[in-house]
Amino acid sequence: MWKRCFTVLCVTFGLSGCAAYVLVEPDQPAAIGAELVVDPQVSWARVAYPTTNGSLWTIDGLGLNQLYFFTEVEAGKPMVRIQGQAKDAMPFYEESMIATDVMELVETTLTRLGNQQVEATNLRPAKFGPRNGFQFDLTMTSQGGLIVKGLCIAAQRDDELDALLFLAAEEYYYELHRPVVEKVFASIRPE
Amino acid sequence: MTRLAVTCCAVLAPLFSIILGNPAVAQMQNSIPIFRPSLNSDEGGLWMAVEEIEKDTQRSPLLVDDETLNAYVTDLVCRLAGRNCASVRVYILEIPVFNATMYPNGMMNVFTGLLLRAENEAQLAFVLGHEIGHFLERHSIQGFRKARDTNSFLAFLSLGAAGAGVNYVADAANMIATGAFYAFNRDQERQADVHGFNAIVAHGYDPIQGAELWKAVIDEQEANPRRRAPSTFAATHPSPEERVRSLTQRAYEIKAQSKETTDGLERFREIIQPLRSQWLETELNRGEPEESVALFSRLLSNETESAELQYYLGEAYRKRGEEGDLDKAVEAFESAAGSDGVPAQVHRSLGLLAMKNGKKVAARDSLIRYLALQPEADDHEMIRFYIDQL
Repeated sequence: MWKRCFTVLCVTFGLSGCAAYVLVEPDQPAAIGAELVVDPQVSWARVAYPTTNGSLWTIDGLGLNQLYFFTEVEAGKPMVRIQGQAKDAMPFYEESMIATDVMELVETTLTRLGNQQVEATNLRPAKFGPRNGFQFDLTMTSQGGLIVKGLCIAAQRDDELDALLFLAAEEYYYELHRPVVEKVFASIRPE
Repeated sequence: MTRLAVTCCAVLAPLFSIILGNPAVAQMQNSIPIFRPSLNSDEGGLWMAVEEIEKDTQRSPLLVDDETLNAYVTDLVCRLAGRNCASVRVYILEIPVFNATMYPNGMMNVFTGLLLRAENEAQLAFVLGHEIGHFLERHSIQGFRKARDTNSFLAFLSLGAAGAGVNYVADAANMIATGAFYAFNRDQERQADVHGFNAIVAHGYDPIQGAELWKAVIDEQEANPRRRAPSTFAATHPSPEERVRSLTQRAYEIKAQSKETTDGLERFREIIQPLRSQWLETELNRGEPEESVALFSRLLSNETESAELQYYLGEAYRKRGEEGDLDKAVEAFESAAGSDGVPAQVHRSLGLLAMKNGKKVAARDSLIRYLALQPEADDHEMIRFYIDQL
C-alpha cells in the first residue's frame, strides 16, 4: 500500500530542521511497518516528518548515520517519494524483480537522490526473520561530498518488498555502528 | 575581448605541483605572465569565492587521479589555450554526465561523462575549446555583474555561497540540475562556440566533429522521457538545431578548402579505453537507461567488435525494460559472449535473465560459467544460492 512507501522530504539525505525526534528505547521491541518488529539494541532517535509514514532512525544525528525502514513497498511504487517530483522520478519496485534487481533498485534510488559513485557489492543470501532474504554492502559519495558506506537487508513477499538500509559516514561511524545494525537485522521477526 | 583572466602564483603554486606533473608543464612555462584582478574589484571578490570551490575540488573524492589521463587532457587544454595555458587548471571528476565547466579564475572541471561521450580527440577539443572561450571572454564576470544589477543578485550570491562551501558535489549536481552554471546568454554561447570551432580548426582537427558531438548528445538527452527540463543545450545555449546547423555549415566551408585534418582517434582511444570500463559502469548506474541505450549504441556503432560495449548495451536494454528490450539484451549478451575479451559478467547477465524466464538449464549453465571465470566474484554466494535453486 502506498502509505507504507517512505516519503522523504529532505533526503539522503540532507535532512535538516524539519524533523521531529522520538526516543527509541534500547530494550523495547520496536514495530517497523504493520507486521514486523526489531530489537533496537541501543537508544536511537526515530525521526518523523509531517507527511511521512515510514521509519527512519539515527544514533548520532542524520548527518552521520541513518537507518531506513522501507516496509511493504508495493509493486509499481518507488521506495522513496519526494514531494513535488514527478511520479516517475524514482524507479519502481516490480514483482518480477530478483535480488540483483532489488540491489539495482536501491542503487538507482540513491543515485537519483543526488548521490554519486553509488556502488552495491557483496550480494549474499541472508535471513530476514523467518524469510529468505538477501543482504549487500554500499558505498557512495553523498551530496555533501561525504564518503558513505551502507548495509542493506531485504526480502520479498508476494508483491511487496521490505528493506532496511543503514547508511553512515565511512570515517568512524560506519564501522562503529555496524555490529549494532547487524544485531538489529538479525532481530527482525513478525509482530 | 580576449583579455587574459588569470590567477595567483602564490596561492596556486602547490596546485601546479599537483596538476602539472605532466608534459604540459614545459609548455606552461612558455606562456604569458600571470596576474589576478585587484581584490578591491568585484572580479577579485568573485575569484576569491571561486578559489574556495577550487580548494574543495582538490579534496573531492570524485577527483580522477590517473596520471596518464590527467597529462593527456591537461596537454590538450594547454595546446588549445595557447599562450594562456598557464591560466587554466584542469580537474577531471568522475561524474557521469556530459559536461565541462570553466570557472572565472581558470579552474576547468572535466567530467568523465564528457570523456566517455566524445568519440575522438577532435570532439573533446571542441568542448574544451568552447569552455576556454568562456574563460577568455570573461563571461562569468559579465554574468555576475548583470545579476548584481538586477533583482537576481541574491540568487547569484546564493549560488556562489553554495559553491564556496564544502558542498561541492551537491553544488555540481545542483548546477547540472538547474542549468545555473550554464547561464550564459546566447551571444556568449555563440562566442564560445566560435572559440571552440576556431581552436580545433587551428590545430588541424576535423571541423565537423563539434557538430557531430552536439547532435549525438542532444539525441541522447531527448531519448529520456523523464527529462522534463530542456536539454542542457536547449536550456541556455542557442537552440540545438541552430547550433548544429551553424557548426555544420562552417565546417563544410572549411572542408571545402581541402585542408588535411585529423580526428585524433588513435591517441584518444589509447588513453581513454583502458579507463572506460569504470565510466561505462558509472553511466549505467546513473539510472537513466534510455540515455545509456542511445550512448552505448552510438559508441558500439564505431566499435562493432567491442564485447565490453555489447555487454553494457545489453545491460542498458535490460534496465530500460521496454517491450522487446529483454530480447535485445539477450542478443547483445550473446554477441558479447562470442567475442574475445568478453567480461565474465556477460554470463551472469545471461544466467539471471534465463532464470527469470524460467529457462533453468540455460540459467544454470551460464551462472556456473560465470563463477568458473570469476570464482571470487563479490556476489558468488548469491549466485551459488541461485544455482542450488535451479
